[in-house]
Amino acid sequence: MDEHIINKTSQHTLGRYTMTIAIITTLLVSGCTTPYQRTALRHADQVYVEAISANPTLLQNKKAAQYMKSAETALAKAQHTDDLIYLFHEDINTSEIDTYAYVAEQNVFSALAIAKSQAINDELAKLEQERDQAVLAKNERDTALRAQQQAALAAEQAHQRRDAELAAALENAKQRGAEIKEEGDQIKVTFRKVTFDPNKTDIKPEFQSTLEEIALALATRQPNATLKVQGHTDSSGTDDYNKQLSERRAVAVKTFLVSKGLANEQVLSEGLGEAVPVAQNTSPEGRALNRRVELLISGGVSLQ
Amino acid sequence: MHKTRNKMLNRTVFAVVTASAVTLSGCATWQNQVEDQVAKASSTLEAAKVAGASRFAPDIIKSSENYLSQAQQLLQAGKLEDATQSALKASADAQLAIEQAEAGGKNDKIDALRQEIASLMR
Repeated sequence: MDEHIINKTSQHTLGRYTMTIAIITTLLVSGCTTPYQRTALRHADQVYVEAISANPTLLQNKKAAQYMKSAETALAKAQHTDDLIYLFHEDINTSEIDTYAYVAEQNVFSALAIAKSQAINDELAKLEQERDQAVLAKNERDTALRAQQQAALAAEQAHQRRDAELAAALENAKQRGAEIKEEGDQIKVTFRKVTFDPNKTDIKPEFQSTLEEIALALATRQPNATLKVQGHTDSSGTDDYNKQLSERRAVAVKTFLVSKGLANEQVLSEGLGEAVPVAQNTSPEGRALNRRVELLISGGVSLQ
Repeated sequence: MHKTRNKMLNRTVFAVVTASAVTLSGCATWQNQVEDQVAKASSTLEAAKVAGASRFAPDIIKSSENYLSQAQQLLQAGKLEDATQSALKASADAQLAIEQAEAGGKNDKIDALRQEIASLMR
């Protein structure tokens, strides 16, 4: 009896396995996708395949390849469970398929995140290089700007020094009786009593000192400055005489200034005689005012 | 005949006892395995949070937290099979969150670099 039961059981098992082999063989031969794949599994499979085809270099990254391997394993487990359910109508919790399909998908997405991260690495490296170059360029600009600012400051300081020196020389001249006036972009210095003896062209010593200070202030520090020396007389004597006298005096002043460092082309001399009076020649005081030497200084100078 | 019967009975008893012992020790091992899986999911989730995933992948973190909570409850209830599945999902979510956090962090660096370059060019 026992033997009969055992034999029957053996035959049933054998028949079941034979059927299994037959089904598997049929499927392999037909080559078609198993029709019993659950939706979740099909979807996970699709995600896996699309990830590979859209990212040919995905598997070249070691970490991404590990995730894809895990996805493959999860898919295989899901497929295996699915097969068991279909083939043997096994009483298996089908949520297991969904779980493995889910795990497979998440692993694929992890691999894709790594691929994205790799692309970002390349972008980062490029931007870091760009940043380093921008830093260098900015440093160069800053250095050039600082040099420019320093040069401008030095020029401004030099300009101020020049102006200060000229202002000091003119102040001294003022102390000695000269009139100083700023007219537009030029400075007018008018000398009266201290200039020449009557009918003479020798520059008085006092006048020489004043002229020397002005010449020194302009010669080295104000190379762009120009001077016009104008000689004036009162109306005593003839027009011709007065004109010639004033011309000779203007030339004398020019010669003196050039001897103290000013360039010849910086100084012009002009004798105007009695032609440009500033007062009436009818009184001694008026005539004294008309007897004068004027220096017109221009070319970027100013009184401080 | 009696002797043979006794022999067979002894063998049967022996087989049953052995099978029970193996089954019980297997259960204990399985329990440990599931506990380990849940613990692993928990530590992976923590690592994801440390990596800043709450900012870059909040939905995935939430999903991982839910699965982990499920796994813990199922484990306590003795539903080892279901607990395993929830733990696996929690782990997978947490790992994805870590990778997305890394990519997100790098995107932040890119933005910062671009701003720095723009300000240097001014």
